[in-house]
Formats: sequence, C-alpha cells, structure tokens
Amino acid sequence: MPNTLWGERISAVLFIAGALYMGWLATDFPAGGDLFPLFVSGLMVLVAGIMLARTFVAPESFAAWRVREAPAQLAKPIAITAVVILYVLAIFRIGYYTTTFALLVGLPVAVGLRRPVFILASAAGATAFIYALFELALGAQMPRGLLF
Amino acid sequence: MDPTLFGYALNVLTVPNLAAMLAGTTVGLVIGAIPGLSPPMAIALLIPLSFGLPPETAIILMVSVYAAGIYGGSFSAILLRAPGTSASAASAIEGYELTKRGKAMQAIRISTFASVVGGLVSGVALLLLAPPLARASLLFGPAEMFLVAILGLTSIAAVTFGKLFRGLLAGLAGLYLSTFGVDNYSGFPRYTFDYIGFEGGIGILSAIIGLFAFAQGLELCQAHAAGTISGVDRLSWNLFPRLSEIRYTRWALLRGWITGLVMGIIPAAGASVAQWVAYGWEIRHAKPGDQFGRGELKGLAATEGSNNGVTGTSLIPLFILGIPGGISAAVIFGALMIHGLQPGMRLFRNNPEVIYTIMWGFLFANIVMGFVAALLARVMAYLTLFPQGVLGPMILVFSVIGTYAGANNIHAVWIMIGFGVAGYYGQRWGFSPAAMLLGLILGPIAENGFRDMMVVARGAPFAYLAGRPIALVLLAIVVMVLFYAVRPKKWERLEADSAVAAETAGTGKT
Amino acid sequence: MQESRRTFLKAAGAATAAALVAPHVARAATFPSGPVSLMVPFSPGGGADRSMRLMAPFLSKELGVPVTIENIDGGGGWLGWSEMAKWDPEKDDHKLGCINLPHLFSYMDPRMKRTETLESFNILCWHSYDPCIWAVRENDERFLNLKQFLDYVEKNPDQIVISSTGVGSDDHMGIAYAEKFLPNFKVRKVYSNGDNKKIQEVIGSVTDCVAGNVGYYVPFMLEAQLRPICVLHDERWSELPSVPTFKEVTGKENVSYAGRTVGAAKGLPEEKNKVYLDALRRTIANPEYIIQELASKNVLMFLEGDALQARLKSSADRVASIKFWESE
Repeated sequence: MPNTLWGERISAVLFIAGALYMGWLATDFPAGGDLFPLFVSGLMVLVAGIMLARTFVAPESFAAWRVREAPAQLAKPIAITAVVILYVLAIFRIGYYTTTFALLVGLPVAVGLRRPVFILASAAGATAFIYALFELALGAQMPRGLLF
Repeated sequence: MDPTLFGYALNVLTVPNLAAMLAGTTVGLVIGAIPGLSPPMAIALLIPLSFGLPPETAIILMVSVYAAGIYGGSFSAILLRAPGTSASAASAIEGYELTKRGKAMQAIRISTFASVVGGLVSGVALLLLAPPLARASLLFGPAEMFLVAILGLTSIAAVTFGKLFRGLLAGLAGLYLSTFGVDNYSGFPRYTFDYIGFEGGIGILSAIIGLFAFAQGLELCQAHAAGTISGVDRLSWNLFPRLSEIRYTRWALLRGWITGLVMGIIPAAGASVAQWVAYGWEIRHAKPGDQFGRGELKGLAATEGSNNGVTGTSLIPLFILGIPGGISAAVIFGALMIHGLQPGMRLFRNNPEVIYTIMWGFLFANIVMGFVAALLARVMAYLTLFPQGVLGPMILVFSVIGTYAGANNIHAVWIMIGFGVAGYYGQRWGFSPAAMLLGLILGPIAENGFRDMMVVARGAPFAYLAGRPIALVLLAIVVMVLFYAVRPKKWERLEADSAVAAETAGTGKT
Repeated sequence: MQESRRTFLKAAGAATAAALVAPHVARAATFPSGPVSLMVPFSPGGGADRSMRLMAPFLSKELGVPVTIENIDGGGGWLGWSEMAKWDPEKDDHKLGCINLPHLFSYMDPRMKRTETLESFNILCWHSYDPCIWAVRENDERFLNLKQFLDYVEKNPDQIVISSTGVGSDDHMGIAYAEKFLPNFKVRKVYSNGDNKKIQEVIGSVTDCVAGNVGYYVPFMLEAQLRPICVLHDERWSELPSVPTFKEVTGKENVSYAGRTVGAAKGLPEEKNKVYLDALRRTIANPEYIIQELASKNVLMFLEGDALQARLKSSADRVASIKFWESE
C-alpha cells in the first residue's frame, strides 16, 4: 500500500481481488441490481490491471517515490482509533460527559503535549460547549452512565 | 415583470424579519460549521418553535438558516479540514492547504466574498427568473440525471492530484459503497453482509465526517503536539477581501457562480455536486504555476462560489412547482405547509406579498450573513492557534458526537470510524478520499438515472436520448471533458506531477 | 425581534428544565413517573417525525410528563423497530414508538432474514391513515379515468410507465396487487425514495402515472397539474368524493395506504397500556392537534382494540398474498 514499487503492486492485486469478490456477490442481485456493481468491478479490474502492468513496464518511474515511513509511525493512528472505539463503548457504561472529558485530557497527554492547565481548560470548555449546544439548544439526551 | 416586486422589498425591513435573519444566519453558521449538524436538521428543529411567528418571518428564518448553513460548513472545512456539511467538502482541499500556509484569513475572506455574492446572484435569479427556470428544471429526467452524474464523476480524475490510478481506484470503491443497502428496484439487500448498519445504505454523513474530519483528527494527533496547524500565532484582522484577491480569482468566481446557479435547479444535484463540478472545471483550467492541491485560492473561490450559488435557485422548483429539489428544500416545504402556505403557482396568485417577502428576505439574509460570518469566522479561526495535540482529540470527539447526532444511530458512528481510518491512510498513500466521496455521492444518481432511463426509454435508449436536447448537450459536454482529460499531453504532465507530488507526500511530514 | 427570540428561549428553556427536574420530582405513585420518550425510526424532518413532533406537546399535556422525540434512523425503520421489539416491559416502560405500516410488514420478505413478526410488537392504537391514489397529468388526453387507463394499458402492454416509491412500499404494493390480480396489467415502473422525484417525473412527462398518497398529492390536484384516477381504499375517501375506488372499476379490492401506529414495550402490564392508550385517545381527538396535522395534510385516524387488530390482520394478509418480493 505505501508509495513504493511493491506497495503499488500489492494494492493493485488487492483491488483486483476485491473487485472480483464484489462482482461475484453481485451476480445474485435481482432486477438489474447487478449491472452497476458488475460494471464497477470491470472498471476496477481494468484500472488496477493497468496499474500493475505499469510497475513491470516502467519500474523506474517509481524510483522517485521515496518513502520514510517507520512502522511505529504508521501504527499510531490505529492505536488512536482503538482508543476512540473504547471511548465510544465507554460512553454507554460510564456516561457521555465523564468519558469525553477523560478523553480530552488523556489523549493530548498521550500524544505528548505538556501543558496541563491549557489541556484541562480546553477539555472543560469543549465539554461545556457540547452540553450547551446538544443538550440545551438541540434538546438531545446524551447517554448517562454510572457517572454524569 | 411585476412592477410591485420592489415594493415587497420594504416588507422585509421590519424588526421581526431582520431579527429572524440575524438569528437564522447565526444558527445556520454555527450548525453548519459543526460536522454532523446540518441545515435541514436545524430547520426541522425550528419548525415547532416558529409557530408563534407570522408565516413570512418563520420562512425567512428558515431560508436564512439554509443559506448560512451551506456557508458555515466552509469555516470548519477551511480552518480545520473538517467540513461541516457535504456542501463544503471540496473547500477542505484548497482551503485547508491555505490555512496550513498561514493564510487562513485570506481563505476566509475570499470564501465569504464568494459565498455572499453567490447567494445574492442566486437570490436575484430566484426573484426574477423563477418561472422559466422552474420549467427548465422539469426538463431534467433520468437521462439528464445520469449524464449530470457522469459529468460529476469526471471530476474524480481532477482530485487525484497526480496519483491518477490510485485516485480512480478510490473513486471506484466509493461507487461500490454507494450501492450498499436495500435496492429500490427489488427490495433486495445488496452488500449488507448481514449487518443492519448497511441496510439503509451508507450515509454521506458518516463518509464525509470520517474521510475528512476523523482522518484529520488522527493526522493532528500524529503531528508535533505542541505545534499549531499554520505555524503562526497571530491572526489578521482584515475581514474584507482585497481588490487584488478578487481580481486574481475573478474567472474562478464567475465559473463557480454559474455552476451553482445551474446545478441549483437540477433536482437532487445541489451543492454537494456543484462544488465538485466547479472544482473540476477550475483544475482543468489550471495554468502553469497554479498551486492546485497545495492551496490555490482560485480553487477555493470556485467551490465556495458554487455551493452558495445553489441556494437561491434550488428554492425555485419548490416555490413555483411545489417540488422540493433537496433535503433542505423538503424541510422548508414542510414548514411552508404547516404555516398554511402550499407552495406552487397558487401561492404566487393568492399570497404574492408573502412569497415575494420571503424571496427578498433570502436576498437580504445573504448580506446579513456576510457580516455575521466575517466575525464568527474570526472567532473560530482562533482554533487554528491551538496546539495540535489538543485540536486533534477535540476533532475526534466532535466527529463522534456529530455523527451520532446527525445520523441518530450508533452504527453510523462505527461506519464513520471505518471511513476515518480509510481516509487517513488514503490521504497518506494517494488513494484520494475526495474521489471516494465523489463516487459515494454520485453513484446512486448515476445508477438510478441509468436504470430509470432504460425503463422510460421503453427498450430504445438511443432514440430516446436523441429526442432530449438537454441530454444531448450534456452528452457533448461529457465527451469534451473526457477528451480533454485523456489527451496524451495531459497524461505526460500528470506523470510529471505525480513524481513531484510523491516527493512531497513521501516525506511523511505535513 | 423580541418575540422570536423569546419564543425560542422559552421553548428551549422549558424543555431543559423539564428534562432536568422531572426525574427527581418523581410522582412515585403515578405512572408515568418521568419523561416519556417517543421513538421515531426516521430522521428529523421526515413525515413521521413532523407528525410525532406535532403530537408530542399534546400527548405530554395528557400524560402530565414531558414527551421527548428520539430519532433512530436507518435500515428503512428497522434499526428502531428491532430495538423496540427488544424493549423490556419493566425497564423500558417509559418508551413509546411510532410504527409505520405497511413498512413493518417487510419482515415477511424472506431475503431480509428478520426474526421479528407482528407478534413482537405491542401496538396500542392507530394514529394516522393516508390511502394510496393513482394520478395522471391533468392535460393527458389518453386517459381521463381508471377505466380508460386500464384499457390503454391492455392495448399497449409494457408501454405505460408508473412512478412509484421503492419495492415493498405502500405505493408499490398497490401496483404489485394489480399486476398479480388483473389479467392484462403489464406496466413499466421507475422507483424513488420519496415523492419529490416521482412528482418531478410525472409532471415533466417522463412517466405517465404516479402512485402516491392522498396527503402529498392533493395540492397538485388543486393546482390542476394532476388528475386522480382511483383511490386504493375500501370505500371512497372523504376528501376526494368524486374519485372512484379501484374496486368500483375493476371489481378487485386493492387497498393500500401509508399508516402510522403507536406502540409500547411488548408485555407491558395492562394498567400501563391503559394509561398510554387513554392519553393517546384524548390527544388524537384534540381539535387543536387535528388542525395542526391537517395543515400538513395528515389525516388522523384512531383505532383501538378489535378494530385495530382487524385492520392489522387484514393488512398483513394482503401483503402476504401479494408477496411483493417475488414480483421481480
């Protein structure tokens, strides 16, 4: 997937496999519902096919695609996403405002910011803003859990 | 033309009406700026509160929310790359690049100018040209809608920024995603993988918040935590565009406004399609030295001009024919009915003072919006001075709550997070998130247009097409655009660009 | 100026105060003891949402507690309904939900793999009813009434195009019935998600006929753009006395409608059911509420007990006999 010769090849192969799978699923769709997905499958195989062919015909054009991507750097967004998923799940157990405040304090610290007063103030401000906007103005009811 | 037309303008200038504009534009700008909260939602929530108001005041309130909501989405798109509505996604590209280069206020200035004037031009069209434009809107049948969608899809190539093949694949993936859910033509659940969250189809809302806002949250969490987006620590107080900026973007503005005006009357197209068509048009007109994809003012002027250029003309089919062309118009339709005003020609005959007052109200609301927007944007721009380590988590939190509030179900949040991860790595590796969004928005219009066309053509699609002049014109435009796009010279340039783009992207730092 | 702002603030303030205070001032002996949520399985601004939002304040007055609208959108209503079927009669006794018919009957479509049936829900009463109609362009000389329309279809099989909402909707069900039970009814259909596209198609001469509901289409008839050719109801509809029913012309009883009902948790004790039902009965008979609904062309129809059950059963039987999922 990354911007390298092999990244290009692997993505092309993955997209071709995906297109074939989706096309195969589409053959079950009744009433002409298969036409458009099959058309997209065809196009995707074509585009990915050209992409793949290009890596063999003109591999030198990928030499310029220099990449410096450390695995740790690539994994960080995944870790943060996992934290957000846990956060969403926790909302329904612990309550919206407590969880949100905790995330807004914890995550900045975790990504390396060292300004405790600013972090606490902005987290409190954002939580209050959400309360005012969603709960007071829009009349929405946020999930309440064990804590507020 | 009705000579009393201008007389109605004075009706607008009452205290309640002006207050409605002020309140409406403020609510619209704030709601529009927050991802997930959309103008239709704000209008729907205002309906019960508007019972006590006279009908024209109530409707002026709602059209003000509508016009300002379309614009408010651009604040967050430009300043944070977290577009507040689907109408401002294209502005996130050039607008945010400008912000990153410390030109946030310049971007805000030109986008305010483009939006206000776009809204005014559109409002004038609404006031003066409504009946003929309404008849024109009836000429858009399935064949025309199919071709409009294809025209929009040609913009995918424009937003790939050098990584043509990867961008196309992202766009095609978007087209797949657009077919998820129960098929109208058979009631069959396509690609639902037995997951109830896919049954109703994949919401544009989840996609747009995920691909842009959530991905941006991840990006900022990744960046230097104590640094700011733009690297500057002060904001300019210059809220009004300079003459030189307007002169530099004048043709882009004009093309944007025209695109908006035309797309407005096309049913179901609206601002979320117009901006991409305008943007694609601008990129095809790129001159050497233009900075498309890296913060080009002309690109922003075009997208911003087009999405507000839509607002007035999109109300034409609603007011004249009683046919709401989009979701916002449908909600305004409901509000009109509740206030005892049945949209249609009878409304012009029976209550001309009400409908013309509303139209003038729309015009004036755009001016009010300009002033409110300039101030609010200045306030919101302070966010760009926040350290990225705080801003990133905040955007993540707002992505979650915005999706939940806007879609009213938790599955939309999971889908949004999925798009977020795809958007982050897509942006990083050249699988353009914008292309994917375009596929998702235009897929259903293209597919349904095509299937409907095959039904109404009664087995003879070519003969059918030959009898529809607008379809033929659209076909000619599509062929021209495609020809332009695949010229060999263009390809060479794209390849050269791709090497440059790869170099900038490859450093992994932003 | 003052007025608009004050109304806004007052309403917002009242809602908040009520939501914050109400749970604590528990009137322990009485039921309901706190705010009641009314679940709408569609997004804000849609027809069901508008109607329920109009009703909420009136229902709230009858129940003596705030009634809040909770939108759960997705899966064609099923995201909300599948939750509703799981409501616990004790923990979820402060919840009501809007159930749309015939949408709910889509559980019969085997392709959807639903586990719920009509038995999974505790439907308290009928709320509103909007029969289907078929309409053609006012200036279309080919057919002035249903008889001429059917003759034309018979002579020109597979040439007439009807605009309808998607397969499985009330509009489609009426067409599917005709296709199944009229010998020579062969038409083409284009489908939409909503009425905007349908009306655009028929007025723009893209299609020949539109299948819709009375409420949405009456205004277009008054504007002399559309002419109704039949109403899909068991008798003539009071609002359109001159329009014949499908049965009058063909002898086949083709009944289709968009209806809303209100339900509560399955297994809710009888006395709690009664509290809700009494309040709903009074609300739906409230002239102030009726007038507000009429403004948005929504006809209220209250049914309870045996009449309700009979209507539910006949509707379910009809859907089962049409088997729309086999039509393509």
